[in-house]
Order: sequence, then C-alpha cells, then structure tokens
Amino acid sequence: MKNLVKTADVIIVGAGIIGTSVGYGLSRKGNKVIMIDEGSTIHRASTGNFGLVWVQGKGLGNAPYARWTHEAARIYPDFLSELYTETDIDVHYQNTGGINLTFGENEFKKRSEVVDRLRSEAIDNKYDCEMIDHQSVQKRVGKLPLGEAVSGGSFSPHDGHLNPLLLYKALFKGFQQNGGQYIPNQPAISTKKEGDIFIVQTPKQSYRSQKVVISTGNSTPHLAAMVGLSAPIRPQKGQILVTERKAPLLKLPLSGIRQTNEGSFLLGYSNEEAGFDVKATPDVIKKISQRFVRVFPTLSDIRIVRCWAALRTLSPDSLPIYHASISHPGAYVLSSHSSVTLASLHATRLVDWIWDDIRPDELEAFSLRRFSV
Amino acid sequence: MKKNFDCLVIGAGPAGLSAAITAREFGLSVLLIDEQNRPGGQIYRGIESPFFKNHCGSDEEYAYGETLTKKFRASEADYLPGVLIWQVSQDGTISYLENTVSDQCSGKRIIIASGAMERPVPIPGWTLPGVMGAGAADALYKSSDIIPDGKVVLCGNGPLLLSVASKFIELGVSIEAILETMSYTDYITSIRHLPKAAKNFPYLLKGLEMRRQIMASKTKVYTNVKDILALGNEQLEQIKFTSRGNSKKISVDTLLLHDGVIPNTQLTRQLNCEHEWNEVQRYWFPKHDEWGNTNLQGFLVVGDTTQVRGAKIAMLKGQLAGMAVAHQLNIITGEERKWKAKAIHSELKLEMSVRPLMDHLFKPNPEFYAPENKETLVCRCEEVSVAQILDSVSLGAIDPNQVKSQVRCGMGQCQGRMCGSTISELVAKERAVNVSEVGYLSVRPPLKPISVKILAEQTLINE
Amino acid sequence: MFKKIDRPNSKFITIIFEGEKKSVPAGITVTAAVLLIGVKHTRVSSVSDSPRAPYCQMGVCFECLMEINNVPNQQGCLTYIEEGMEIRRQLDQQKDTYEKEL
Repeated sequence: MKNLVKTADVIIVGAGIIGTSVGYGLSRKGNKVIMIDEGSTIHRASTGNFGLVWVQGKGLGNAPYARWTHEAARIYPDFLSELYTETDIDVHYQNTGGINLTFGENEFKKRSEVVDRLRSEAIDNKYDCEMIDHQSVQKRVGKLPLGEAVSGGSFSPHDGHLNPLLLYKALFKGFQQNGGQYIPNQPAISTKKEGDIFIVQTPKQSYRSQKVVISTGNSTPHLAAMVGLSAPIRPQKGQILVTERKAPLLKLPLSGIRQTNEGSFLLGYSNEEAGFDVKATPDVIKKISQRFVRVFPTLSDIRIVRCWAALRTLSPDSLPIYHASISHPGAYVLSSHSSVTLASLHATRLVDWIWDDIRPDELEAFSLRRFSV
Repeated sequence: MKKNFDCLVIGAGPAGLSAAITAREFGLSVLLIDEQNRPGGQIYRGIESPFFKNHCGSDEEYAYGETLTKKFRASEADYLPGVLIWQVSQDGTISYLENTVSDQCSGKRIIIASGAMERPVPIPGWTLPGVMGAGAADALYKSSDIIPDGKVVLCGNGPLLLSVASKFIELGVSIEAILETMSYTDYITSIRHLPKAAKNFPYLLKGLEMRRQIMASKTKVYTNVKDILALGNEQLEQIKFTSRGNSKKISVDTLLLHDGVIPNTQLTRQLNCEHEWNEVQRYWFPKHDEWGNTNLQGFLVVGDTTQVRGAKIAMLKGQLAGMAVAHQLNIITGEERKWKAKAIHSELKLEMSVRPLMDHLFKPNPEFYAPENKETLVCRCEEVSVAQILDSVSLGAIDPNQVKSQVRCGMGQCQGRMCGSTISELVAKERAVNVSEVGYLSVRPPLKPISVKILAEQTLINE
Repeated sequence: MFKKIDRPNSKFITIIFEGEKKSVPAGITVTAAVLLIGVKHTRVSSVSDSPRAPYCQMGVCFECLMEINNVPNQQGCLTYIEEGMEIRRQLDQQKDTYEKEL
C-alpha cells in the first residue's frame, strides 16, 4: 500500500458526491487532499438518486438558487469533458432537455403559473422553460405512446440526465489520479482546531490540515457541531423502482421517469418523512407503478427488477447549505440534495471559494445565517 | 380467501410442511404458501408427480416425503401453491402474486422455510449451455423423470454429488467421468469428527454404499481436480482440468457442477433479519435460536434456509417452530412446550451427530468460492467478471453494495442469487478481512421481477 | 441433451413450441419439455446476446424464462406443461420491442 499521508491542505470529511466533487476540484489544482469516509453504504444518498441534471422549476422564490442551478447546467458539458479526458469514464450525459409532466387541466394550469413566476423572478425575465401540450410532449418523447391522462408539461432545454453512479466513480477516480488520498471506513470522531491547524481524529489515526470541509450528508448535524455550527439537516425518504433493460425507447427524461443508458427505466418517487428508514413499501410501489402505467400504458408489461429507497439530505427550505464557519475559520459545511446537478459548480466555483476565497455572489443565500433569523 | 392467519408458513419443503402440520395440531389457523405448484420443496420434489411411484422405491427417505405430504393435506391448513411472495414487511404482512394478481395477507407469526440452493460454481465458461448444477439434474429427474443423455461429466464435491452420481449410474446414465475436487487435507482434518458421527451409523453407511456403487460401476474418477475450464462455441463442447497435476481434456455434452448447498437467504435478507456467517461451510444464514426465532419479533426460520442439515433435521426443526408459535400465541405453556419438545430434542441430537463430519469433509472449494481466473464471470446476468470486481475494490469499494453500484453485479434479474456469495468472498479476500466483516448484497423487493401493471393493480391488505 | 426414462403406460400430450406442435410426456416441467425437444438454449444474455440454458432448475438462476401461453417471463422450471400450451423463447427481447408491438 502507498504511504499514508497524515497532513494535507484540505481534509474532506464525507466522500459522497459533494465531497468527491470538491475533492476532485481541489486535487486538480494541485492541492493535497485527504478524504475520509465512515463507510456506510445504506444511508449514502450519493448512490441513491435519480440521475437528473435538472434545472427547471428550481428556485421558485429564490432567484440566487435559480441562477446557481442554471449556471451548473451551463458549465456541465465542459466539466464532464475534462472529467472524461482525465478518467476515461463516460458518464453518458445527455442534454436532451426534460419535461415535467402534468396530469389534467388543473395541474397544467398550476405548473404554468409556476413557470410564469420563475420567469418574472429571472434577470431580464429570461427563463428558458415553456409549457407544451400533450401532442408536443408526445413528439418529444418519440414513438412510445403517451397515455391520455398526460395533459402536457413544462419543457426546458437545459435539463438532462446521466449515469450518477458512473459520475461518482469518475469523480472518485479523478480525485485519486490527482493525488487525492482516500481513507475509507473510518468515521471522524472529532474535529478540532489548534492554532491555524485542524486536527481530524478517526479511530486509527489523526490527520492535520489547513482547511476542513464537512460534506457528510445526513450525518452533518453532529459533524458540523464540531466546528461550532448548527446545521438543520434532515433525511427525507424517496422510493424508486427500476425496470429490466429494454431497447432505447424514451428519448428524454421526464419528471419521475427516465430511461438509463443501460436501458432500464427508473420510476420515481416519493417524499416521505420517515427518519432513516430505507425500506421499499408496497403502498408507495403501487402509487409509482400506477403513475407509470398512466404515462406509458403500452409499457405496462415491463418488469420491475428492484425497488429501493434512499434518503435525500434536506435543509428546511430544501436549498443548499454552503457555509464557512466563523468560530473555526477554514471549516466549511456543504450540503445539498441536488448534488448531481450541482457537481459542476462543486468541483469549480466552490473550490475557488474554499481555497482561494473567491466567493460567488449567490452563496450568501445558502449560508446557515438564513436559519437563525 | 381469509387474509389474516395465526401462522403463515413460507415454503413447502420438509421444514415448512412439518411446521404447518404441527401448528395445525395446536388448532392454529395456518396458511402455507409455496412457489412451486406441488409440495415437497427440493429434496422431496416430485412427491405428488405422476413419476413418484417410479422413483420412491430406491430411497426410503424420499418415500417418507409422501407420508409428510399426506399428513399436510389432511391437516386442513390453507395452502397456496404456485404463488410468489414478492415482499415481506416486518409487521407480518406479505405481498404475494397468484397468476397475475398481487394481493396481501398477514400472519401473527411467520415461519420462513424457504430452503436452500446449490452453491453457485463459477468456473470459466459456466454460462455455456450444457453446464448446470448436479442438483438441477436431480430436480429434472424427480420432477420430470428425465435424465442426461450424451456425454455427461460430474464435477465437484458434496453428498449431493455422490448421491446424484450413484443414482444416475443405477439409471443407466453414461457418465464419462467424475471429477472430484475434494482435497486430501479435508479428508484428514475431518477424521476427528468421525467418532461423533459414528453415532449415526446408518447415515455413514449410506454414504459408503454410494461410494461402493460408483467404484463398482468402473466409472472413471479423477481426484484432486483443479483448474477446471468449460469450453465451447455456443454450447459446452469440452472441459479442461488437471488431476493430481496432470492436464486432461474431455469432450462433454453435459457438465454437472456441485460444491455443496447453501441457505437461500433472499427472503430473510429482504426482511432485514440479522445474518451470521458459517466459516466452515462458508455461507450466510439468518441468526436464530433453538426454536427458530430470528432477531425480528414474530419471524421464525427453519430448515435448510437456516443451516444446511437435510430433510430429517428440517422436519424436526419445523415441529419445534410450530410448538414455539403455539407457545407464543398462548395455546400452550412453556412447560408443555418443553415436555412436547423433549423427544424432538433427542432425535435432533442423534441426527446432528453426523453434521460436523459432513461439514468438515465436504468443505467448499476456494477455486469455486473465490475464483482466481480473472475472466470468470461472477455475475451471470450482467456479465461482470472477477477482474471488474477486484478493480472496484482496489479503487476503494469496501463492500458488495459499493462494488455493485460501480460495476452492476447483482443488478440483473436473478437479483444477486447466483453471484452474491462470490462477491462477498472476493471483496473479503481482496481486502484481506473475514467475509463476516464485508457483508452481503442488499436484497430488495420484489423478490422476483414483476410487471409494473401487476404492481399498479395490487390489492393492499388495508384497502 | 436429455431423454425421458421409458415407462410402461407413459402418457403424451401436445404442446406448441415456437409455432410447431410437439408431442412430449405429460406431467413434466416446461423446461424439461424444451430440453427433451432438443433445444440448446432457452434465452440470450441481455448484455452480450450469448446463448444461455437453464442452470439451477429451481427458480434462482433465471435462465429458463420463456413466454408461456403469451405471458412473458415465466420460469419454465417451475411451470408444468398442459395440453396445447404455447411456449416461446424470448430471443429478441432486447431488440426493438416497441417496433414489434407496432
């Protein structure tokens, strides 16, 4: 085994997709990075998401978030092409645009209002999202017959999807190739600051660094407390169904339905306040199945191969948390439930902020201060 | 149909049948659900088939299955054959599929007797048509009265391999060769269990008789076999191997592989029971006490799904579980249970005496359970090789689920049944830790793939 | 390669395998029938199209999935044949299923 490094420029606690994105970005710039992970697989949100790079609909009432998300999508292709050049891992990103489906006239109207509001909140009222009717949805979907229950939806050309497990793998590989050191299966027991140095203690070893990033998903509250921060993060359960593989049939991702590059359909999802429970349940399986059959009645014989649940990492307003500790300068807490979409920014703009103190304007909207008001 | 029962029994092999019979004897309402259309599980497969009369003569133990089945039929337990349980909840509700309709029912107590399966034997080329389990060939014989034709080779280790070999020889199957992978070390080290095993002399005699039959038939037997390869273009054509260091090649139509039997833990895993690792026989099994109680309130496990011990022990354990449920539901007192269980406990002790010898004599083969040939496919459904799994571990994956998310092993339609054990072994070996530390693939509903239409139309118990 | 053991008074029934009538012994499983007919592979791998045949005969390997009486994805090893039963392998499952339905 390679020699264990115990000192770094930055220690990242939590090797989920946020930590790995930031780790990749930091190590690419030549920084020495150690990334520590407690090893839990069951509650790891990063391997339990839908794989969307999704822009539309986000940031209603919060223009900074809408802008942040759009920016993430805008730089995504470049971010991925560099990642591919470095790691040779193709994450099958398709910027096909995406549709948020509506059922019935009421839903269509409601969605339309949401889109209008987002447009009015955008700079120069520029918001690339339009309502389309059933026929237009059908046209974009392709030959797969769309169920009559679908009244239409909102389409955004900026939406897309990719294979999130491969993205995660590529970021990880990129991190290691750039000299990043990964310490798996070791929880961070304590994080202290002594003078200018942070000391992170695991059961086997202590590590020292100039800066510390805490990106521990649903474990963040107790880790953040170690650097003087109260991070109100809670888990939210979402169930997903996965089908057998089929030949490519669906041309673009829809809300709660997409076809992966391997050919399986992913069907989602639920939003359940169930603590850390990740069991798939027949009642939710039934609801999600019913929705799918309404959307694609001719695919009703497709078999579900597995049903699983994962935990979103949610802040009270569902927006990201990017916060620099004041009591422990150099410590950062990062959390978001859209970390696939935001990966491009996490690997670039957040890295510039963390290492070079170049703070994006939007970030004030995502600090923890908003929760103490 | 009634929806709520005192006792649900899952699996109609000897353990399940026995548990159902016993529970009924105490007046409990019982529903036995089984995936097969006919009772008997694997060991008593074909008990109610038209071929039973032809098969039962040579094997009195097999014939006993008929007695058990008749008793079950007479017990008036509700019976749902040919039904797939696709999900079990910890509150005692199960979702099941009957033809094309999914419904639910519940039990105050649930006894899981889902049995065992042959340990998968991943060798290079094992996905070629013509390669199957020795137990599979036995199942074809029991259920359908058919036997392999053409050039047949048996390969591996285990009582079942011996039993199939001697049975097939008797039936006139032309066996090109038997390839024994048992190591001499296992022979020697298991001798210390012989004195205890001698208490169950008839059982030992049976094994010796099988060996005698094989020798008398003059079937070619190769010993100390290693480095087995199955070769062919679109189907099995020949096999290569070494025997005592010498390379051999045989033309073959059907290769019957076997390296022991392991508990089928798909259901207990989906339920999230605690599991333990049996280091000698190298399999996972649900943790349980002497009555079959798991760590989950209301759930018991019996038979080969707990420890692979054969039909007699499965049956005895089934009876104990039936008694345990009767006690838990206040039909009998603890004292009554103790008294009724006495005879069973003595019989169990006798039957168990041969088990340490069996477990040590027929130890699993590292060439099969942790294959070294990098090209060998571990996951048949998604075609994931040994190399891909090891690469994933070297990149930092610490357990089967992390490996699965990277290379897709276990994501196919068999849902990890054929590759789960191998993945755990390879990850543990690569990380140089014990398998118990590494864990197993997560198992999620549905227990078998089901169409989205059926799931959309399912009836829930509280509807 | 498999053969049925000769028994006196054996009954036979007719099944339809991929459009052709076949006479097979009554009371056997679909997989047994298909093996007796001489079929070498029951499906192809969804990853590489390589031919596969049943391995376990007890419902755990999923190599014996066939279309039985127009219901897809039935495990042949757990299903018993009946008079007139229609059996088809699912060899082009991965190819443009949608085009087929149109």
